[in-house]
Amino acid sequence: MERYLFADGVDVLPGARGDDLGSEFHCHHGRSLVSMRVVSLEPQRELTLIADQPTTMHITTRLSDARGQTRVSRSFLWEEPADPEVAQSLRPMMETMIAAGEGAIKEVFEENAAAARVRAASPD
Amino acid sequence: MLADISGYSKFVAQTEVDHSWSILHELLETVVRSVEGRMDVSQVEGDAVLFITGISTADVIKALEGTFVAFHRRLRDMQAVTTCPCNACANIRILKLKFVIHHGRFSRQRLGGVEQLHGTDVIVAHRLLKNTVPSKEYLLVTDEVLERLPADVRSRFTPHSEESDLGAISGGYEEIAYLWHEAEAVERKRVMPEEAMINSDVTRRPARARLQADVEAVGHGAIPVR
Repeated sequence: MERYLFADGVDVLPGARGDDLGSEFHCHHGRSLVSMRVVSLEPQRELTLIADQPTTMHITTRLSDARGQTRVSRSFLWEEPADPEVAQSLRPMMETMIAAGEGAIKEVFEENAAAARVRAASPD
Repeated sequence: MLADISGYSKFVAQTEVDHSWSILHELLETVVRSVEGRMDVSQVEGDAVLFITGISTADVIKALEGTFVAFHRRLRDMQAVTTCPCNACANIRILKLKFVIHHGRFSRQRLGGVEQLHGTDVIVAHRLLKNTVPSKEYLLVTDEVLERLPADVRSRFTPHSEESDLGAISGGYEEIAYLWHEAEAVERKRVMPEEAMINSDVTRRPARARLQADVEAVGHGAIPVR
């Protein structure tokens, strides 16, 4: 989670009855704190988070099978700030953040693939 | 400020002790966490929590509105994830939350290593827990609170008075069930791709491309060949 969120540290608060639904991630970025909460969940298929920074934002992440490959699809929707200038500067910030997230996901895919290759190549 | 989970006595009487305790614990945790940094827990009193705070009275009201929504959101989520068929888990929804708020003076006394708040104003708040407010979920405040609220907030309260061994305690109450109904109505559950501001897709490279990369990696000695 630290890698995906580019956080120095993440505090995890368990969700309802110890489940993932309702769980919270408090992500420390230097001196600032971003809080995310799981608002809906279909295990292994779909997860939606609400984040409070840089503006209230919902992110739905879906996992699907794309002809035998894993596809991670993410949909972002945020509250537009009332100030048009702030709203305008927000989109490029989001695009950068989302691209960085894609990079983190790809890295994990590559690492998992490399680990699988190593396991496959090992004698036992 | 007292946050009190009503319906709990009936809930415990009709349900399994282990699960009813864990449910109560989780709900009280939710209440406490929702005001963290703004209010301090003085004491947990069964199904109620006594808080003290130095923030403005208007901010107390605002904070508790958030607490109320957080409480019901957790109740809903608890009900959604539970697969346990026991009475406690099946009856989570009967639990309600109410608040009593008073502004006054107190002293701190220690008894058996435990700090207790002491003073008439502390008793006033506790006396108001048993009341005749015609609602199950409300903010019940005393005149000392009302007079510290901005006029627009104060106008939301219905005048109310309770008789007690301390005499009449007057103030007002506001029904707050609507807060959760409003919050839940606009609560988003997912973002569909067609409504998103940005969509992002990452797919693992097709097997052939990965195989090619693997072959190249082996060729460069990055992956040992056994």
